Amino acid sequence: MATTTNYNWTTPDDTDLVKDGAAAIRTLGSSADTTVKALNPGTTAGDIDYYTTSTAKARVGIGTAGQVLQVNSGATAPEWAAPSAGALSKITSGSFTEVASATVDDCFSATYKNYMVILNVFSVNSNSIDLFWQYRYSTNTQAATYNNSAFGYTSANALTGYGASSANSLELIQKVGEPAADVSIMNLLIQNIGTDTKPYLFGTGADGEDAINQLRIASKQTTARTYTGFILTPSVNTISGSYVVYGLEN
Amino acid sequence: MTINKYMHNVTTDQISVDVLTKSELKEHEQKISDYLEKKAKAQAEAEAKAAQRQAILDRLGLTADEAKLLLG
Repeated sequence: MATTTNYNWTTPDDTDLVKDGAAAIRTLGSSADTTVKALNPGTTAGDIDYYTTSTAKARVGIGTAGQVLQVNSGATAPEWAAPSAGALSKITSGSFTEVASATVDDCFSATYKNYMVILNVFSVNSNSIDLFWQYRYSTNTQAATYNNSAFGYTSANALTGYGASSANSLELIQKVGEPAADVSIMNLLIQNIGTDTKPYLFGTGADGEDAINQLRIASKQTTARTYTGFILTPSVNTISGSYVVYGLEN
Repeated sequence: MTINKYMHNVTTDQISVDVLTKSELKEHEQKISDYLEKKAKAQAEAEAKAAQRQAILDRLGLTADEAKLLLG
């Protein structure tokens, strides 16, 4: 019996009888149908086909939103899975315009112990604004027991500093810049947070008014709580700006 | 003039900008008042200290730079 080269489908021999032609065509068509189906195992929208052997294929159904395609633990097939957290994972970001306070709740959790917060803040009302930070827990604001110290080098070539013990807030920046072009920038590292702990905050930055060229700040909140967010408030008037929060791999 | 507050809940990804309530506005104004009072007090203390320092320098017949050199 004659067969095809690649898939070995049965075809009529040259000497077969014409009366057997219909049956021969049916056999050939059936073989082709089986092979084509095997090459296209998908059944559902979003399916992906993959080889299980050098010639056989199987389907993997579409994953759920946000999942990524990876190789399974046996290294035998692809599978959809939640992406693993990177060393630095963006938690959230946002911006605010001329507000008396900017609150970001539920950005800290037990998932990470350490977070990085990048702040860009400016004022449209005054260049004499100071910026304060307080932790949030659930929907409450922690308004006590902030210990902090900050020092900087001024545009007049002098060291300057400020700080407080057991204060009701943490002073992040003195003299927030007035126009958007004079934005004050701070990079904050917040450690030991997300569970019932006393968080530390370390920051570097510069005020927008160029009064303090470089600023270093260190702070400890001495009341242990499960802090989940933060609130920024100006000393007077309003603030505008933006924030990005990253979780750092434990 | 209204004053707004910005709130972002990361879990629900809900962002709201609301006008301060009466009690929040009162608290906001009190906070500003306390801050300005504290700042004015600190400035007055700094000015008094500077005046005191200058009075001593005048009595000794030294300039600030000369005093700095002497103490450095």
